[in-house]
Amino acid sequence: MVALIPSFLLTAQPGEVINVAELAPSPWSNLIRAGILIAVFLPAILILAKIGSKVVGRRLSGQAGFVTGKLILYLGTLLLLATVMLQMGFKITAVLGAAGVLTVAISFAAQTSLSNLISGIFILWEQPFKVGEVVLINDTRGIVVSVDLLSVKLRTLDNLYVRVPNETIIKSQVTTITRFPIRRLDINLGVAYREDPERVMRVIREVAEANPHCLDEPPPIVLFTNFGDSALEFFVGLWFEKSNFLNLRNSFMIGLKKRFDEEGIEIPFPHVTLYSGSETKPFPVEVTERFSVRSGETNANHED
Amino acid sequence: MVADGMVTDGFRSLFHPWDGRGRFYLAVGNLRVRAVFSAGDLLLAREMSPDSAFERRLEETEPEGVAWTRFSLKEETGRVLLEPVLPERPILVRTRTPIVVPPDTAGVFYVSVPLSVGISASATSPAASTPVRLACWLTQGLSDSWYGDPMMGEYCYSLKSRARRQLEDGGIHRGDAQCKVLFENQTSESFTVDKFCIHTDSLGLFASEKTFWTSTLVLTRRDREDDLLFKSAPGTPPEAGDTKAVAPPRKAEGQGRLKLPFASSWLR
Repeated sequence: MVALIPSFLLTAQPGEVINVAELAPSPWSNLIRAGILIAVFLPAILILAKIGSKVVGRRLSGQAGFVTGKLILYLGTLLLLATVMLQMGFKITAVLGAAGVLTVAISFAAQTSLSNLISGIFILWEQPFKVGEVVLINDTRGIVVSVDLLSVKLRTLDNLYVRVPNETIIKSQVTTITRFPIRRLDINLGVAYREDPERVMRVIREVAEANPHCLDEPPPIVLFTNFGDSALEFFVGLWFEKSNFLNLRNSFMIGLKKRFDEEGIEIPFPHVTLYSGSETKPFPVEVTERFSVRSGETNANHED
Repeated sequence: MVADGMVTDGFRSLFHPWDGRGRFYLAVGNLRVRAVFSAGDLLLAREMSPDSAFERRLEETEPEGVAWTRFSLKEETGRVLLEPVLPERPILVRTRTPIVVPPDTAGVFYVSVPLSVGISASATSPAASTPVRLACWLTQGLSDSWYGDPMMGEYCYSLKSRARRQLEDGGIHRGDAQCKVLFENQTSESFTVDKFCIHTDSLGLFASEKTFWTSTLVLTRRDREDDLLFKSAPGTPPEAGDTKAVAPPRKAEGQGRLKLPFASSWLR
């Protein structure tokens, strides 16, 4: 870069043979050279950072482009700073040496942040999820708000703001719930042992086919899975377009219960017997008086 | 013009615009549409009622239980256009029985595609800007479906009726458009057709004396290709007779690629 500096900035007499290496440039000329360096190369770095950000943003993602632009800007500025310092006459070898020692010290102190930073670069490259997708990271389910260098920010479905370090994401299993356009809703249910399994499966299929949110391709899955302790167990798998999860779940469950009631299909449930202590028998329940909810009259009144 | 309180049956009367006076009722297929202007706004409501319950409530201006949608229109709006349009999503169609198409052969199918009612508003002057589409409602309740594999595919409607080999087989219903689908097998192997997808945005809509027609859809299978090439042939097939154009294709380019039916089998 120094070789580009015009020769008239150096102090010399006309006709004099000059050995450039022996000349000591004046402090003012150093300042001017440094100024020219900054004036020429700083805008170039800014333009390069913008171009790099756009190119990477188009190929990968907006977030990756933003990070690339910042990296180019920071690295370019550091290089320019080193060149300007050289031009000003500073001996940067000593500075670089000290920086090396400092880097080791900082690395030990900031190893977690560095790990997050490197993990962030891998996440931006691999793209396991994008901004706007719903993800499950460990036990946290939320919508990705931003993918940054050190962490990923989520907004949970009950509107909490969660910051997840990138290192955690690289080490954990991450489920991107909305990656594919359709999903399957899995329901396990049981019916009483006295029911006919084929009839139950036919009823479930009819309820699924009548539901407007349930896709008919891929077709609903209805399986008789097990002879359970208390019930005949079935598995139902319903495909839906990913934005219809709540609509399908509510409408199918309600529709199935209504249809089961109409068909007289019983869903068994556990019964509880109350004991007052381990030595006593169960409390007996004896009907002494029948009370009519509608009229408020009791059987005793009727007999009178 | 359509008269106040008139109940229109079918799409035939929809080629005349409504001037917004009084009330307007439309019955096509299972769809019932009510329209009324109120305080400068257009109120629209729809019901899917295959029985006469809708007709019994005609005397009520704003009956209970009807979900109205209110549209705020520009002051110069003076016409409401109701027109037949093809559904906005692709249609998944199944054949009655799987058909095997041998090499260098073409198989023909006819599909009855349920139409939608497109409701648009425009200014009174014919020289005014393009009508603004307010709503688009199917005349039959169609189920949601998916064409493709679970990772990548198309969200579409599922047709209740099946693709048929003869035009007259199965009847022609009001509110449907007949679509002729041609399968061309340009490979050296037979292939089986049991379901396919019709991209309605690449088809034009036409009207004949008896029914509506779409452009002919040609699906071609070529060697060493994993998908089908679909193309919309201009005009209607010869069996449609004399037709007049109702609506052009929504997409200018009438061709594209269609994934192979994911559950179909390929004979070797």
